[in-house]
Amino acid sequence: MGLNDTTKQSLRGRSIPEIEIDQVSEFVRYIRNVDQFPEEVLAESPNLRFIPGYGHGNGEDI
Amino acid sequence: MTDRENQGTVIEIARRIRMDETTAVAVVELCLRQIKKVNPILNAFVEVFEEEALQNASIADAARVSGRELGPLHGVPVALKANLDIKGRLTTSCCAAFRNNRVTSDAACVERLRAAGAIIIGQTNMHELAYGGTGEVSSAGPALNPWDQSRNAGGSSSGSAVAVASGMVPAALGTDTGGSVRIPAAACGLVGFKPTINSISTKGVMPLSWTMDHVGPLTRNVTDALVVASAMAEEGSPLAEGVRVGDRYRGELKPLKVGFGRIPGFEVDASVGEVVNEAMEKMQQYGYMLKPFNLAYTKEAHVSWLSIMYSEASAYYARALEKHYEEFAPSVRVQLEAGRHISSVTYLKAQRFRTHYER
Repeated sequence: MGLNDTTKQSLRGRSIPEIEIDQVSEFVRYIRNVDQFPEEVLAESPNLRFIPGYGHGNGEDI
Repeated sequence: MTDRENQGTVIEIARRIRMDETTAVAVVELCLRQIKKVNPILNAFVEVFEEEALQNASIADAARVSGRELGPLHGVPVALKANLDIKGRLTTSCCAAFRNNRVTSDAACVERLRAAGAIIIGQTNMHELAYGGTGEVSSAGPALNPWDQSRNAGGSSSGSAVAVASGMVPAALGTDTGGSVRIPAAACGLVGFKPTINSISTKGVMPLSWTMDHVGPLTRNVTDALVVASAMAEEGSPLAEGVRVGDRYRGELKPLKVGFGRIPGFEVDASVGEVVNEAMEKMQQYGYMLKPFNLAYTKEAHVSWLSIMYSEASAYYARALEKHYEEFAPSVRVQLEAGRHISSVTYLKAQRFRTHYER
């Protein structure tokens, strides 16, 4: 899914050319595929100081 | 445009200066002559520090005569990509929006180069903000490939590669976030590599993606690349022990294990495959342990890399983009705008995937 109409409209409001809005939308559509990552390839990252499971119990509540 | 018969390698130049066979001033003058001859055609440099380089070369020669201890790059001219801070100079990343960005201190890697005795001779052209792999998009105009001027030089460290390949300097620095040292090195027939993250500080590098940016050397041979990179390396990193790595090459330490990744279903050009196979055979002859493996999740890796780079670049340049939209090249500002529409969840997942992938 690329940019929605509301976002496109706000870019038009900033006088961004239509061709660039289309290109932005295409980039965003491609990148949003990242949400398809399977859980088994997501690790703790030192860039985020992410601590999986911390305080989450068995995860049923989240 | 690749005539460099009067030029030596980093190692040769440093040795000749040390042995009093030449002077730093003579070497810098040779480089300046070549720059004047070919740079008007190839557009590798955005600024040449002629007076300052000659002055520093003269100081370097005086230091040698006085018997002071000399660094590994004593008197060796080095060019720097235009996104590396040089005290008192402009850091523009070849983007018109930053044409007045004068900085007050050296980047950490530049400090280290100077401490090793290098002479900073000028600043090189690049793909705007390092946001592209061709070198064709730059406020200074494109740098041209010295082997064939109808082709691009590769990027984003285009000017650094062109400067070394055409004999204007024996070594130059680039930065690499997704190939920006390795692509121009390949396109211009040089050695360039992306050192292990954090082994060379990126403090004072105008960022593209602060968690993925690297500083790397562009040289004419492997030994020169090792010497230049080692001179910039953070203490305690394996790269700082460049000499010990050299010992390893000579078989004095246990040979390294080298991974050899393939992407299933992806075939390289036959001539490239041949060279890679030859290199692997030689490595095996020297006792290296080659470990082939298949790269998985390559599409996810690409999207993860883009998500991180887009998010970080857009966060860093958000204010500048709002104030100076017209002063960014269209292909760059489109990517900067795209990064503003990536969710934090996507960014976080991309960082987590990256960590998994690096293992």
